[in-house]
Amino acid sequence: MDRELVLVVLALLFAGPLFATCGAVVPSRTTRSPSAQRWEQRCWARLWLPLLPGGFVLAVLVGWALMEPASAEPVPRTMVGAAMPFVPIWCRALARAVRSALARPPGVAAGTVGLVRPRVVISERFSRALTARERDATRAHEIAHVRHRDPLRLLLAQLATDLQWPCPGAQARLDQWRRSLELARDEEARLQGADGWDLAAAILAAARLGPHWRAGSTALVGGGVPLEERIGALLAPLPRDDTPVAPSPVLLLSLTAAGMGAVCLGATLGETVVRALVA
Amino acid sequence: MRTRALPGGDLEYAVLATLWDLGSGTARDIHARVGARDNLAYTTTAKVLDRLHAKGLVSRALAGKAFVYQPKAKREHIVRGLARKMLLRLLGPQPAPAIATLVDAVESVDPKLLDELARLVEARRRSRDGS
Repeated sequence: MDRELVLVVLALLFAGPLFATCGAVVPSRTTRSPSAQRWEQRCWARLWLPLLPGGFVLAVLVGWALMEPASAEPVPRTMVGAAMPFVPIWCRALARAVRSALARPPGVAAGTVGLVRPRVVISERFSRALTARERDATRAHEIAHVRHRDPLRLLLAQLATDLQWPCPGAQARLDQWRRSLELARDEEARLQGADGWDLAAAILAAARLGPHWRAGSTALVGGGVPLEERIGALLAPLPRDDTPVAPSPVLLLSLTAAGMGAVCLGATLGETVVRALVA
Repeated sequence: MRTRALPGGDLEYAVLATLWDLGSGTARDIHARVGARDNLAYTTTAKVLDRLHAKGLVSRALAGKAFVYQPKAKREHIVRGLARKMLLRLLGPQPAPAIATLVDAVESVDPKLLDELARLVEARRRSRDGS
């Protein structure tokens, strides 16, 4: 059997259930903190937490595959059968990631686009509706999105969520992160000098120009931040305490080291383990 | 492109499938094959046929005292439509686009809410500029 096919089957069989199980176990809500940026960081970390064990297993399997010759031990049919239910889940996740990457919502007033080289886009119609200060505030908000490469993060977050499907907690974590994201970028724009009231006015102007505006209908719905909450946060003073902390270098190094360790573990012991599994 | 109606549920599909097999039939003929087998009342089968007729999936013509039903939709079209529906259900609702917009795409916005919030923001800005 081809090494790559064996890798895929083992990945589906072991990482697949781990994603779903951990997705169900990790709490879906992250406690709100006074700083929106810190809250966003926590929500982002919680989004990926359920994928760590499965990711570790995948790294081990990759390590095994790197040392394995092109033709590997065939996997028993029972194992292939057990892996099959995860095929539609992973295909669905990939299909939705592609849809997310290609989707272009109509009539975007202002946004950040581009997965590899993010850039700010502001429609001329929207720009004309703003004062100079409101335009600056909008740009500051969008530049904060560029700084963090948020279009790519949105895509990866969607993929991470879909790999845990049909766990409802995963969608709740994604929704909470998306909510925290806009509040965090508003806060960052204000910390960079943009006026909260000008940004609030710009947001209201964008909401008026939105393509789905319909007279006499109910309040803002959807996965984003309720309008009242966002405007309220912009009109409130910036949080004094609990200033955001950049992701800990120690944590990043530890995760990288664990990943590399997993690959090395797979490379050294993978053959023994896989042979025992498929025997 | 006009969205084609599809049979909703197993019973509607079973009745339609029976019509495809028979070619045409009265409610009693169809009930004998589908409804009676599942211990359903005759009126249930008749209601299902009414619904299929309302959806444009079957046609009917009066023959004596009873309607004779004929399938209007082709089997392959319905099967393809149902498969597509199942695939879309599996894919789930449209994923959020990988674009960070200033305001999320929304289903609807209350203009009164917008006006109220705009008044609040303007009042704050006037007090800022005035001070």
